[in-house]
Amino acid sequence: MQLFDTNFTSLDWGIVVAYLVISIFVGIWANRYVGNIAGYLVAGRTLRIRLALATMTGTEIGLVTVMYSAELGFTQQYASLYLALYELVILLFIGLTGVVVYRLRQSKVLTIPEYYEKRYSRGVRVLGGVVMVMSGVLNMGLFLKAGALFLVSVTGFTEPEWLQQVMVDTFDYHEPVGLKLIMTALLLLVLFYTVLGGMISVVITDLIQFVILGSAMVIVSLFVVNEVGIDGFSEVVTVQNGYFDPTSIDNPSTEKPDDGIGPVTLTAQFVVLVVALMLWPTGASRTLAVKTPEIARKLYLCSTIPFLARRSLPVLWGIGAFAFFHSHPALNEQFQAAVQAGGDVNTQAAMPLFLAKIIPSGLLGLVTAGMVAAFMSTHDSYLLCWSGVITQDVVAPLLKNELTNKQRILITRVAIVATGFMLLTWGLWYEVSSNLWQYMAITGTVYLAGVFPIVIGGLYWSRSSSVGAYIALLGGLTGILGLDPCIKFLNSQFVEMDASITVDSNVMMLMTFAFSLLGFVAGSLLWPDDRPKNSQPSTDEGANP
Amino acid sequence: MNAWMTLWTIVLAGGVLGMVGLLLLVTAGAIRELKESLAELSADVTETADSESATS
Repeated sequence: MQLFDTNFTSLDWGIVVAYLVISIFVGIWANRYVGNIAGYLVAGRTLRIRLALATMTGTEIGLVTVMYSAELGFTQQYASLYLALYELVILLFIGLTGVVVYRLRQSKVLTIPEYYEKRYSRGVRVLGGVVMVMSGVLNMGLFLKAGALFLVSVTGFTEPEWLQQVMVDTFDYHEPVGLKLIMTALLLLVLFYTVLGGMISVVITDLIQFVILGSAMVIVSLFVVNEVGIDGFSEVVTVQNGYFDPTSIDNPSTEKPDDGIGPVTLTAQFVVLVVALMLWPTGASRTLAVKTPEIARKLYLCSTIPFLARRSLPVLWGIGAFAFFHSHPALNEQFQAAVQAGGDVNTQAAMPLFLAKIIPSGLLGLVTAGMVAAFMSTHDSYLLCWSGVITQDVVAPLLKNELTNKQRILITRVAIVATGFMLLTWGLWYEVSSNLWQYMAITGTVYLAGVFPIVIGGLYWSRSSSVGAYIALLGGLTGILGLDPCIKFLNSQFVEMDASITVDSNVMMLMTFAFSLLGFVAGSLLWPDDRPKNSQPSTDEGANP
Repeated sequence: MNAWMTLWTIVLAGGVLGMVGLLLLVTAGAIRELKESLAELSADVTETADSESATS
């Protein structure tokens, strides 16, 4: 058996293409329901609980989620499930208490930065919008690459010789272009129907994707369990030195010392997940799109199940891939050699390469369509969210003339396309050296560290001030220092200074949260706002948790 | 099997069973709610078109 052998055939391509054609049709059809900006961005706030839950599941189970969870399952095996457990506990807490999300929906804002203006000032809104978009676009930066890597691995796609020849003759370009071409094609597809239909097409396609993706995830899990067997999953721990205790900093499945999870990572990830689950903009946009605050609370309670599934099932596939490669030593050798070679293959490819060998043709097409669905449902929601923020929270507040609905929709569409091409550029350029999830957590921290004190302080602390909010937002920008190139640079500077200090991305994330929180409290106490702000939203929709 | 492995087995089984349950319980209701939402949005589109033609 060779590493890139696959069961993917033309039948499977047919299934995937048919799915994509239906998605495009839906985008065009949904355009008829776009009447105003609220219709475009939050589907006119018409979502009820089941539809909101289905679309939230469609958004939150993205292909990138599947890829990073499976990668963690492959590299950290059972221990990586601590993230699933964290999400379960945090969502249950939010869903039972309604903390933050209930009051946020009561405030009747369209976006989080709009809340910044309502509670603080227009300047906070604009700066908050810029920070949010910067963090969000960085966070999305590797989505395209992860999606393309999945497709290349599962389909066994290799670029045709004539294309290689054209690239050499025309551009004197000698690198492989297959992955880049797939990234570009995926982006164009998502841009097309997101630009056309806005949140309405997102909701409709998310519902279709929820059914296809959910079914595909269950089917794949059954195949993985069948292939590896119950004994095989036990042997991951008993024979193959699998990692199962996340409190231990040593990962026994690798030869490197102290490259596991451990207490600092556990703490940093808990902080990131608490804030992300409450206030990550795409999740918050669903909170703001539902009919009532009570539905917003219930949505979180019901989301415990899909969130548990989105983390645990791909981890199961990653553990399955680990067991499969370890029980096929020749294949494992090929895979390790391909990863060491440093090309397009990395540890993210383990899961799709594994699935390509165990899922039969036909079903593999359905599964791939489900995963492409997962890719598109996340991408469209994210694109719509960031471009909505650019329009509503950056451009519109800066312009003195009131924008019409048509102008706002046009600006949003232009922002979607511009954001899409920024993503393509970043995805082609940036090489991630840590795991994909860590990259997501670091880039997310840039926004999360600021929004946490600003929104929670705004909702629950009457002395919160605009100056405190500015400091918190700017403090969040230090989160960028957690990216690999910055960490390497900082540690090299410490070595040059003979300082016995080293930092890693988890320490940097915790420092960013602490810096923003302390800055917010100090700024609010030292420079209070002159006029009282409406910190408590209206109570016409029920009691405030 | 130690306590960690028992916990992880419960988490994995919960994920699989949860997804099956979700598909069975949510799908039909979500389709019905989508139809209701689209009906409301259609009414909004008509109102927006009427108000824009009145102001122009």
